[in-house]
Amino acid sequence: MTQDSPVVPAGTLVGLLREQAARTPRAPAVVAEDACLTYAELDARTDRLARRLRHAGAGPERVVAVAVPRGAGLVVAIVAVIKSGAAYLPLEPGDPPRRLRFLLADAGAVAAVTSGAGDAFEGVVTVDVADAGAPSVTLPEVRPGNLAYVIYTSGSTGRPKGVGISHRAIVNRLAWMQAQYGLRPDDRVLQKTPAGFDVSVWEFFWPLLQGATLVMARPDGHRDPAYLAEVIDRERITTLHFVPSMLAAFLRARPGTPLPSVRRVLCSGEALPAETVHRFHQAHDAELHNLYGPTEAAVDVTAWPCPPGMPDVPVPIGRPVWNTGVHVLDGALRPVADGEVGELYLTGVQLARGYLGRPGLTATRFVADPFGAAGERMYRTGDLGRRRPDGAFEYAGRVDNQVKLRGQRIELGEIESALTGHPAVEQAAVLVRENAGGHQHLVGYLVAADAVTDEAMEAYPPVTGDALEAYLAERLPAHMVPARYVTLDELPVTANGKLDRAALAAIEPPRTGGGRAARTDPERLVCGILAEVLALPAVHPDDGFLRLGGDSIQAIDAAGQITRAGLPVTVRDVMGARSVAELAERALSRPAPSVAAEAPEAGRGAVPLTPIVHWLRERGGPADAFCQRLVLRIPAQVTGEWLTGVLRRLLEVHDMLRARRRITADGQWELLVPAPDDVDALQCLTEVPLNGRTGEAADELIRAELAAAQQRLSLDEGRLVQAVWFSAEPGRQAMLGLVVNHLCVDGVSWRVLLHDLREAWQGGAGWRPAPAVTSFRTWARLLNDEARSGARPGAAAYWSSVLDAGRARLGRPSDARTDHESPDRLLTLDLDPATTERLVGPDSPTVNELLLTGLALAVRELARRDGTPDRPVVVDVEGHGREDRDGTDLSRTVGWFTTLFPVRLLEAGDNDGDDPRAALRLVREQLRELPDKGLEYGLHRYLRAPGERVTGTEPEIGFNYLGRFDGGGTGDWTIVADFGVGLDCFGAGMPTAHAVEVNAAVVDGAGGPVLRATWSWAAGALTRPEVTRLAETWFRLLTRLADDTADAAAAAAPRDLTLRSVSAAELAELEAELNAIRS
Amino acid sequence: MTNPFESDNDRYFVLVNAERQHSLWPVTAAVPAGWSVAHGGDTRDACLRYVEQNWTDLRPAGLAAEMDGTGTVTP
Repeated sequence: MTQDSPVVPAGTLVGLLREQAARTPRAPAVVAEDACLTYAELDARTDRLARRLRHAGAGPERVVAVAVPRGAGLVVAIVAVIKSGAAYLPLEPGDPPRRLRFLLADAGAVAAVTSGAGDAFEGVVTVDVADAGAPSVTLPEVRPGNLAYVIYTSGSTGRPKGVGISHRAIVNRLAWMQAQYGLRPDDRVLQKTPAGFDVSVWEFFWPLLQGATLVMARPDGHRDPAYLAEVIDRERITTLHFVPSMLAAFLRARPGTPLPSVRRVLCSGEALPAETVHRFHQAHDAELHNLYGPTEAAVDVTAWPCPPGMPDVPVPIGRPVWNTGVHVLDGALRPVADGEVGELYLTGVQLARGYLGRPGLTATRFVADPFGAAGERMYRTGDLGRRRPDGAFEYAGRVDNQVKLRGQRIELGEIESALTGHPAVEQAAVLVRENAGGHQHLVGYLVAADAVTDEAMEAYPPVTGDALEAYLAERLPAHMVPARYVTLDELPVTANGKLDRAALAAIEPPRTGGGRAARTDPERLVCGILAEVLALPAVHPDDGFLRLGGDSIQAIDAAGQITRAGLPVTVRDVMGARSVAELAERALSRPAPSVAAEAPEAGRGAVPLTPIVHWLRERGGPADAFCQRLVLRIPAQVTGEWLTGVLRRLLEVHDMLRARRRITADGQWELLVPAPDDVDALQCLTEVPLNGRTGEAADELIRAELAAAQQRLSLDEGRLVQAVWFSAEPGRQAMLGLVVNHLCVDGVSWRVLLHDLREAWQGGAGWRPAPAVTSFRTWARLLNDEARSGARPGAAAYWSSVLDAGRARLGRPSDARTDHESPDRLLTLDLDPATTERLVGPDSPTVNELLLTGLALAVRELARRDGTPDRPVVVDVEGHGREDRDGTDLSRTVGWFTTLFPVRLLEAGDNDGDDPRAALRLVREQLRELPDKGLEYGLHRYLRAPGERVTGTEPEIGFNYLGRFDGGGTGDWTIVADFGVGLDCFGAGMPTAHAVEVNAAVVDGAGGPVLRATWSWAAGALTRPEVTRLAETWFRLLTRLADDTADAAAAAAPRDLTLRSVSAAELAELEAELNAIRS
Repeated sequence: MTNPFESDNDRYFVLVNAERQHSLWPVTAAVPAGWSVAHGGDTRDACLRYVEQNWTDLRPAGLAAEMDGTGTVTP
């Protein structure tokens, strides 16, 4: 089955690189954002660095790590290691230090090339890539059998394994590639694959062996369709690689924009859908090829051309490359018949030599070949496939527990092993869970150790999801850290004692209890609305809103809906009623609402800026892509026509969705809401067929499409809404992605829009959304009028004093000129369900107060630990901003109402603030004393006459509690929590607003509610470990607060309160407060 | 489909070729040409222990001889 091949090409990468440098010394070899190098320059620089490395111990059969960010330096480092005779080991500089140290030790690296060394590289010689010193040593002879590179892949027993590839293997692969595709000196190859993945090997070396140019994409640029299109166009790229799902997303993100420079696109990494091939050829006049191969066989072992009109479905992985064979074998190592599925075994010169330092493992995977020449080996891939009668091969899945998440190869066993390394974890299993929408995420199932030693407790306080996540984050790359954790008494096992993964996958905790049925129409109505708002399967008349987990934001939504249905209730009614029955009672005893709906025209025309819009403008940076997004499961029967119609009606009714911005000559912003005369709903909707994709393929596609939709938003063109319809065939789950510029949306707005969408689906052709009672424009005018008409005495002084507090600080101040938001600086931690339950449970004070108390204590603790003197803790807090004003009702208004205001949570002298309960009391006082729930601050900061505005330094710490979301639903019109709930998304170059910021939400998932905290920070202000420390300290203090307050509130008995500082009067006050919340 | 190399209950050989590369091999399958039995039939664990103890230089024997013979860097 070996393709007719020429003899195995002679030579090594070292020799071939030198020969090419001699042929075309003046040709451009490397183009990067930081530098461009000719072949002669690259040759000279890498010779110097190679000698430096040789001096440091590099040579044949030695390993030298390369931990350099993508740029010209990365190429220099890799080529220099090759020239030194050593094998290069690519490391991702951003991986956890513990993982980097493991890889360095496991590979026995003698040196590491870095650009600015980190702690992780203690113990090996580090050489800076810019090191120009060239000791006078000679470079050694390198043989074709010597290792050229070592790439680590996930290992099932918990240890990543280093695959060692020889020069002979990779030279064969590159020579075949050149014969097959014919790269020319005027070709320009884009390098965009991270060096830790073996596709990058041909990206680096193919052009450099042919006199072509290697163009380096910026780090992480491979995930951004807009950037890729730009760099392909700007750099006249002719040749590049795509993972198929990324290619599909790229094609949709750039419809109708052919890239004339591109000659060929090579795909590998996952199945290539025939439909992507078709779409590619519609847009581009270039070749497309599908390649396949594991890291263990020099990148690719089969290839298939995909010309226009190609009839093959599925797209084959193709025929073997030179000097390579593919066997399809059954369980007894016998070849199966053509067309039948078997395991793919690979043979030939491209096989790895084995796994570094792992002879046993090597002997089980690289085994004797019964079909080839005497003494040959074959590699068993663990991939299933079949051979077509014409000799082409098709891929048919995996045989084992290896999974691919977002294109990355993962052994679940490696994660399980890391989990059981935690001293408080007895047993662990990890599953990939797929929700109804086909979205995959990792879930860790644990059995806690019985006898946890005191030391272990000290080192790793509670065995909570967040603690585990932080623990794993130090040991595994980010894509291998589970998203959720479930604690069990024992892991389910099958009859023969093996882990029962099917039983594990079935573990879904129940969500609600039960109760009597509704007796009256009002009860039925309220039960129905609360069930919808809280996304519960059912609500019973004896259930209370808070006890069901409702929060103040959901209360706004519920109150609005119940009122519109004819039962006038306030937010306070919803929050305070002990039960649905009581809420219905209250409504019936109340006269009809007094706020009359405005005329439709009131929402149209020029809209004065609100404080938060001023804040956005002052923040600077590109605001077009500043958005919020949501993905919903929708029925497969939804049609494009229906969606367009619904979007049109939503845009017609919700005025702010049509807003557009104009920047005046002096840099001010103007907002205008045009009349809904010719709403173009078609431009808001993009259809992307899922084509049977599930799991990571669907996930990847959706993320890429959402990113592309985000790029289409434009404030000045009034394009604030983009919907992406992920259509599916009948019986499958379709999805709807909504990407909306933040200028016209907030948390409550999403609830309004979700309600409308669900209602539209039930409402039939005649459905029209109910208009808002008070428009955003009216509200904006009201705020501006209020700010101009005078101020509360002392208000300006109050807010100035908050801003000017000499406050506690973490890290360094951020700088809007250089600190930008980045997806690389996000840390998401979940608090375990049990603790979360206590925090948000019916008897707890408001969640906001607890979260802020925990944050204040955490900041104080860390500031003290860093030796900062005691100072007030001041935090920028976000509020929903829909405050009470006579004659207004904002419950159905879509717009950005958010307020942002500084709160002085703890004073320097609040020594009893060290006691959580006392601190809670102090923080609560501060929050309750906030004038107008903080709304007043924005008026003073932005809307008053220029000379009267409050100025000062805003806090470095931002806090936002987004409320409670249902992330556990699987039915139509539920939110797919994996894509985020209510989090802001930023475009490139958006300055950070704070040195560090936490967005917290309670997400109800399969394992119960979890408090999900997403931290972001300014690179110039804090490091990831510092933020991790803050995040962990916060969760630890929240756990204490949850324990304390659950005790205190359960409470009614004074003896339970042993707190010194709580007087009888205060106790009475606490009780009154709890009662106020309840009634 | 059970993989013939992954069963803890089956018995295996350890095979060795001229490059001194080692391979686990099910005793039920014919030994391929160019390979000889170095250990077994034995349990999978015992075979792997044998491999770990005896295959200490993962370089193919030809390469090792070339490198050691010319006195270049020896690992």
